[in-house]
Amino acid sequence: MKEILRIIPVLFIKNGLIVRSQNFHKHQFIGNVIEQAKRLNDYNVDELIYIDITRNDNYDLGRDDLLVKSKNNIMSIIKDISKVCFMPLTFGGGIKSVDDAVSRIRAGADKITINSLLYKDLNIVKKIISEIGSQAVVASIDYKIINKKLIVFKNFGQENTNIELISFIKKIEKLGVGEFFIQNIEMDGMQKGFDLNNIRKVVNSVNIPVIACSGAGSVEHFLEAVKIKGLSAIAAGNYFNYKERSYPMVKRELKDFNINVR
Amino acid sequence: MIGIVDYGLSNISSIANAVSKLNYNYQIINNEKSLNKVDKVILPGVGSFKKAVINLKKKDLFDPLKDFIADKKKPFLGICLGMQLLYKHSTEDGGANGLGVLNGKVEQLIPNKKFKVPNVGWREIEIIKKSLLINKFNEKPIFYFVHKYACYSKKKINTVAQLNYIDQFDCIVEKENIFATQFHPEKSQKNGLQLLNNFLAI
Repeated sequence: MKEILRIIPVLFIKNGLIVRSQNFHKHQFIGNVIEQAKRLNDYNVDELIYIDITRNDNYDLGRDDLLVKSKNNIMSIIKDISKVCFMPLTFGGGIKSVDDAVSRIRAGADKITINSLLYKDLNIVKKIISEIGSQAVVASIDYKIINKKLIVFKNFGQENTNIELISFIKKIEKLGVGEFFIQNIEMDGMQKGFDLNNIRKVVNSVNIPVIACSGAGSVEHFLEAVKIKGLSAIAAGNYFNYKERSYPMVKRELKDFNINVR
Repeated sequence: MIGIVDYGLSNISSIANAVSKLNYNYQIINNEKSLNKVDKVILPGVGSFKKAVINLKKKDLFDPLKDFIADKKKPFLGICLGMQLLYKHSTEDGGANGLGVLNGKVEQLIPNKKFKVPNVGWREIEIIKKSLLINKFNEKPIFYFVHKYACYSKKKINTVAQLNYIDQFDCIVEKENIFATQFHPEKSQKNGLQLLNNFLAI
């Protein structure tokens, strides 16, 4: 069977609104979460990944000047999105306990991503996996290239862990997570293309599906990434959120090049 | 009335949302009493087989569900783990016995160089016989899968469609009143909603 490559829009939510992200720290508000979800559902997207990057529990910004309504908590966001989207939904950000994970799944998420927990408490990660199953747990890992080495960063990409990426993902794979979502922090929002060689390294090092994100700036960048054998999905944030109709356009172009997409 | 079984593990609201979208009313089933009030059941599923069996037993739903399927012979749809639970046995987490209304076993997919596990993503399934569920579908419809364990029927007589991913396993089965899919129709956009609608209309 020829595998169908998934193309996934990633939406970053901050204080209940969709934001554009650059190098993990500049965030610009760009829209209402539910409206965006509806639009993407109409585009027949393969899957959606939402990452909540709110740094505290304060959701309502009171920014009436933005002319977009912010939603006041992540659970109600999940519930509302799952009412309008009949595709796989992955939610990440702020998952600290087994309860956080289970409640997101029950609210309508199909999968969750975990990041900070990977550095805090692997026992909780194991418990989450045994509760909701491997297939529902995506490990999200951010890295930078430091002195030609791939180094894992934590805490919204701000803190150097001094851990080498490939050995780390192998360790996390053994825990039983279902997928990896990897990002080169320095490619985020730069639109210079994906970190091809390092994505390839990760894909070749593990037996579970890998979703590669960060760097998309043109259709050519997708065409480069699809050549990575064994890569399961290509994700992009800003590229799909900023450019009108960019999602169907990418799909059509990939099909024109005989790439197996839906 | 359609019942959606809640045993604490599944993506219950996704199923409920899809049923509502198709303009059907539903009732959440979390005990035997509520099961007696419905004439059609959907058993969703995300999570581990063993935990699901334990939870169904805790809620005193395990035997009543068997009864609903095997004796009352009312229309039943198992989705993903909900399909796996219909078989006699799964090797997940050291092994557990399921409802046993379908003959066969549930075993883990073993990854190889070409194929990653879990099997996640959109797959073109191969239809091998007719079924009410796939009424109006083309020959190779695409659905969304996310699973690590797969169902292998003893005989293929109930197999409606299969997927060849590492091994050839069942992805739609139909046996009298029993229907099941390994993929997630509630997450498979138009095709999935059509399939659910076919079940709801039975």
